[in-house]
Amino acid sequence: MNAAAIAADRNRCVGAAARRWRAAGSVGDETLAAVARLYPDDRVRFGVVMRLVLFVFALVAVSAAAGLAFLAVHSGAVLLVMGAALWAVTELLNGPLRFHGSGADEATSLSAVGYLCAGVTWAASESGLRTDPALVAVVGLTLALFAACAAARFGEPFLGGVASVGLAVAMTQAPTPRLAWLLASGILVPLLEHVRRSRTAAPSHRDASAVAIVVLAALAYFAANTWSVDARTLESLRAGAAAPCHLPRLLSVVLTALLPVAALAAGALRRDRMWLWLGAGMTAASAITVRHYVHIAPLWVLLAAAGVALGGLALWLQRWLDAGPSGERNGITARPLFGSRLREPAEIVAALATLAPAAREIPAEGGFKPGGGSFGGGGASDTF
Amino acid sequence: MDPEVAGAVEALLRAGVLSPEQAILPVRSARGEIVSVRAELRTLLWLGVTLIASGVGILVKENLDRIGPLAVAIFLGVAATACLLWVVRAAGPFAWLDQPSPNLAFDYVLLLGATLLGADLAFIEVKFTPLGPGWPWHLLLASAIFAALALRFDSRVVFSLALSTFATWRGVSMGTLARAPVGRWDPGLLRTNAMACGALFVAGGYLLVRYRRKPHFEPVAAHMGWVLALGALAAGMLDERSPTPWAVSALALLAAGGGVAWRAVVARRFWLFAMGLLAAYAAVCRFVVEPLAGQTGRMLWFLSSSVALIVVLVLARRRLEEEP
Repeated sequence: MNAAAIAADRNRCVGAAARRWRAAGSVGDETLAAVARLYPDDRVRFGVVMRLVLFVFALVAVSAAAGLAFLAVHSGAVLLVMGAALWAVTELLNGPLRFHGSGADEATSLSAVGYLCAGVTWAASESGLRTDPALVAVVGLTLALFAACAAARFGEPFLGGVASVGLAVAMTQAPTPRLAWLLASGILVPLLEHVRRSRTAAPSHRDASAVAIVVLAALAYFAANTWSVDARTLESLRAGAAAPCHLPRLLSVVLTALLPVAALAAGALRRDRMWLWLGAGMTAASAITVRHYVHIAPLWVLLAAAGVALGGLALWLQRWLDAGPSGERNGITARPLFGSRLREPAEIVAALATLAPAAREIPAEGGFKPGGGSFGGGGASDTF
Repeated sequence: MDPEVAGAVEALLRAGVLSPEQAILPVRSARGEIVSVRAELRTLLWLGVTLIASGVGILVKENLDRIGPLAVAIFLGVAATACLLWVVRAAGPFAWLDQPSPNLAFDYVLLLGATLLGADLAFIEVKFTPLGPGWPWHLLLASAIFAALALRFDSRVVFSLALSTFATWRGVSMGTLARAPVGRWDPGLLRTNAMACGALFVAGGYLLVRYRRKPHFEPVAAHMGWVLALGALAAGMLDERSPTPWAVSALALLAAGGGVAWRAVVARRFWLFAMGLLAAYAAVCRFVVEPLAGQTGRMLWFLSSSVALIVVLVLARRRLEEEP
């Protein structure tokens, strides 16, 4: 990102914050207009929906261009040419055309990384690199390298996650993949956390670091999880012979218990929602792991009890936070500060996906048969 | 933490754009001194409802023989009634306009009560078959109860359940639409039902706004309605065995998609715009790709049409400006 892009990125954050204040009723339209005047954002950006539309059409265009190139030249070298061309297109979009967060630039940057990675893999296999572990490692490392470079250059947050996934793929081919995952996460997460909390880093770079941290922390938890150790999940991913597992089981049990607590504590003490979400996800995964080994009660009892416990915990937390001075404790509040526009649509989609009944069948011959209905959500069934 | 915003708030305060009272919360939020966990608490509550519903479903499935159908039906009924009684006690007076929830748990206890009630109705129908061959009517009854609960207690989530249950009564869901050509469904009848449901939902949404009766429910009805109607037309266009020529379905899809997109731009409703645009584009592609025999021509079409659409959308971005 050049200086102009970083300046626009910083102004975008201020503009977005002002719109949230306006939506919450904290400020009026004149304040919003003043902020837009004082912090101008000169990039071509779209909202979530239009970004998705442009992303889809840009991917269609890229796929069609690649198809045409393959029809003209029957060689894997087309992958490298396509990757380089798409990188150049993204430079053009991000530079003179000032596209950022438009959907189109996100599609071309992602495609550039994908084609370059595929091209390097093709070149490696053509140059005699035939052994599977080495080839998988090349795929992972090139994906990590190109995605990290693209994230730094174009400031696309999701590429931070792609780079982390690439690194994880490469690590599966290490002699001790599980320790390699834990070591890589142990080194990279603090470094990325430093970038994420840096005042000098561009907001998009901070966001890319956050996405990378989420992926790396989730991978580290998976590497440490007791079930994952017992099932040799990572070791079996090694191409050719499976690698040995060097993580002691007792240590994995301790980590399965402690990592969620550590993530939740980090989130609560630093007032950091990202770590709170990570901790909550790890807690759920650890609870499922415990259930896998210890059958303390029938599944329905556990599910219902967990549901009641979660509901009770949420209500207790709300009351506890509300009862604090000014409705907050340690800077954490249950009151809405500046709301999210996506919350309600997300809740409706989630409710429909989990709780709506399944559609009945309309038989081709006509006439209904009794007893064909179904009900229940979230795993409930219509068969008794 | 948001250092840009923290710096900007201080600058805006010095410039007199923000008053000290207005700046307190934004600057604390930007410095990371205060954070709201309301979204997290709501997620916990939704997860709790989903887990309880799942647990109840498994209980019924695995213990039916031991407990007996009557006990299960009574248990589900009592649980649903308990939830709904709590909702009745906590609810404020009825109003036709948008109302804030009286407390954080309200929407979720209502959702749990509605789900348990729906499960109870379905269970009674499956086990005791009071409606006999007319068993699907219990879905209509459940839909009507959900709609009544949604209107009384002002819940868009339960209203969406009412609409989806109504569509279920007619055998319609996105899954059945997609699987119709290879499943046991009558694809033509299914598509007709989907289009009728879609038209009904869209018209219902229009009436809600027209007569100011829960007008904030309209987006739920309009989005579900157009998804069903456009999905049915697209399924008809792609069904090779349909007695209706594909060109008729494609023309209808083009007209409906184009109309929705045009109206959505005027009304600045971007999800509807995206839906309409993608539907119209799919219909145009069907017309153009059909006569093109070679792969080169098809690739050229997809390349040129996508780039052209991107250019048009970027040029029209002033009209399409939503909050980034």
